[in-house]
Amino acid sequence: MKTTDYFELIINKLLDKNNQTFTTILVCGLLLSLLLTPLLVISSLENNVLGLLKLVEVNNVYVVSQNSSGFSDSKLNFFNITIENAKAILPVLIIKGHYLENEIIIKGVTLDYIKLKNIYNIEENKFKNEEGIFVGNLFAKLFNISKGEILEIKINNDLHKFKVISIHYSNSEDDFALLINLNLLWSKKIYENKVSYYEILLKGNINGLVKKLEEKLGQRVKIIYNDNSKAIETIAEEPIKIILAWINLVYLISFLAGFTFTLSNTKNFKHDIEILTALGINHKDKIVLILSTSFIVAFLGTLVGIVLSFVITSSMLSFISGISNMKIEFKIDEMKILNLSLIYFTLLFLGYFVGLIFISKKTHRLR
Amino acid sequence: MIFIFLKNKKNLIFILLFSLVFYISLMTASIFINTYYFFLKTFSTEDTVLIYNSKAISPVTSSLPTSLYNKIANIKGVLAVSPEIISITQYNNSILIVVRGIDITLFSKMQKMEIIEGRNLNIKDGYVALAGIKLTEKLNLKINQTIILFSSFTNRILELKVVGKFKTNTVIDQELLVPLFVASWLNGYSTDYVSFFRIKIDNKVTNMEEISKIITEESSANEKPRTTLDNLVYYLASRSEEKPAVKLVKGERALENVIINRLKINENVIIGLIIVIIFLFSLILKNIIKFFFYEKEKEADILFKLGLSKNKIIHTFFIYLLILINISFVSIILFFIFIKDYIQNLINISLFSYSINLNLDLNYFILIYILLIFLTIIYTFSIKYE
Repeated sequence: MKTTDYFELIINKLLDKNNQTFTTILVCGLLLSLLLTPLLVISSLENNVLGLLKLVEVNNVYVVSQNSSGFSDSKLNFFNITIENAKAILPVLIIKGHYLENEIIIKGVTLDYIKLKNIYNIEENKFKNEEGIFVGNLFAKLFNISKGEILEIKINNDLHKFKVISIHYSNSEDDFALLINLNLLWSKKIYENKVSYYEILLKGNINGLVKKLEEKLGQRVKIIYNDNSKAIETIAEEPIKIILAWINLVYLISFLAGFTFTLSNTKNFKHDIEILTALGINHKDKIVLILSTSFIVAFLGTLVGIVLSFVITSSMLSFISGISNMKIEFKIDEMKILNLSLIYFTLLFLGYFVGLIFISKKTHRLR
Repeated sequence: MIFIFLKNKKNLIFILLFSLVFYISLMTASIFINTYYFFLKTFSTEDTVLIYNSKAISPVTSSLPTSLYNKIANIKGVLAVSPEIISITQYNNSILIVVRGIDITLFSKMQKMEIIEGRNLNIKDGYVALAGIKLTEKLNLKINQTIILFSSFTNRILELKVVGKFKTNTVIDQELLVPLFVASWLNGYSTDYVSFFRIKIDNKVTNMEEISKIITEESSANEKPRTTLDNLVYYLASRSEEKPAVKLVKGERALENVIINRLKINENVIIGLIIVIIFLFSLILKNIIKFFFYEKEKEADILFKLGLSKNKIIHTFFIYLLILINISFVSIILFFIFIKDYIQNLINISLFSYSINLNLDLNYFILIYILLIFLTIIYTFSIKYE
């Protein structure tokens, strides 16, 4: 059989009213649009609305030793580091101690830390010159600590005494911490010349930062930073995760749809195959014919589904734009749509193909 | 009888096909309904009432002065009050965890909680967390493990130590519990504000309207302070002159304002959506029924030649079809019930750190059954006329 003959035969079969090709394509398209529309709507909303929440750039990064699980178990050598695109580099030594049987955090910091992290009620000259500790206001309230008091803190099984110089406020985790001049800690032989991490306040991007730091510190480091925009994207992905769980069912439906649509037209398909066999069509040609028919139906069904979901999504987005007075553009994640449609197409094709093979076998002629 | 039925290979194929349609319909209904109700009560528990700022869209985005605690706790009929802050954070820079800031003393009076391993929080704890049993299983968290949490709405990063594992048999088992101020830091809030108050009330003594009215009234001069030294609220609340307008909502409808009032998605919309989707799926049912009648053509011919009327033949096969459908439905219900947990793990639908349960109420089983039987009747008769 020539290719043109194949084409003519397939088109004739597909256009045959009795074969319900149009209904099959439309229903399969509808099923695919059921899957794609919510994804497209959520993705578009996510792209439009989340842009407003994203921070422009990461401006705080933390450098810790590579094998550490966090800040407190990290130990880095201390060097006075300068990096071109850094506004400030703040070395911090975190020590876990015990005060009245409670585990507490002591932070060895520099004056720059106090200034740049907006910690109030710590006087510069007292921080530089006085030997003592600065207690966070929450900590002071909970442990009933006042200025001038002497605190006995156990660090690495040694008991150290510190005078409370002032109670500070910061509206951050430092409100529960005890701050101390880094040099004073080192002078007490506590982790001498070591820091737990460097907090870097960046002016630019973080490209190449690790390499520069490793060269300067002479040890392997890693960078921890909170990419807020990534978190927002993860939150927005949550509803999509639920739809993706349901997608497996729609895939099953696509296979079933292809399979049962051929079964429901067994009479016609059987009739067609019998005629073709009587006309002398060989086994190979019959398979090619079944494959081509299945491919065309699955392809058209998928295409209709994509078009339908685009039409429904754009009208839904116009409606949402109208009621929310916000311009919401239709944005597509092409790869996601392509992946989902491809799986849908494959399963629909398989369902239709298996159905036709099943019918063909029923004619007892196909070997 | 059923055994004879099942011995027939063709019947088995039909049962399998019908079962697949029922399974897909039930799972669709289950995913939609459970997700909806889950969204509705996210961040809260049943049998409780949430008090949040009426100007906020949801309890999570609300802020109320911590000092409001005294006023709420003084209301007759209020059995327990727990000020709480919800913070959505990232663990390992990829997994979302819901962190709940609590006052451990007040929370314990509100919520039955069992410490499975490690220790409970105490008033003087700072950078520590209690992990819900389901969360520890999911993330394989160990006692004394240090975890780093990345705030979702600020640039903050916090290092916390897991000191204990707890069990409440509520959604809270999938959360991290931290002292109130830790959640404030994560959210970038001032420490004298909370997201909402979760309360338990004695319905015989008071009701939600009455509580709402009392909260918005001027504070009386002789209002008794209800906090004690073992309450975190005692240290965090600063005297506030604010009289915020509040909204009270039942725990099982915590996000009612967002989902029902703003997005206009109520139970009827969900049921309508399920019916439309099942109707679309049922077109496959129509194909199977059509194939069934095609398969019975020869038998029908014989019966016709034996003198049975067309209606009688259709009637006989319709009964046959109903038996097949009922066997399929029963088998799929058994399948659904017995391997529900397996399916749950396989599909594992989750929202933030919560896993959504795929339980389905008996009413929905009945609704889907009736819907599919109704569609079977319609399709059978449409095929009869074709």
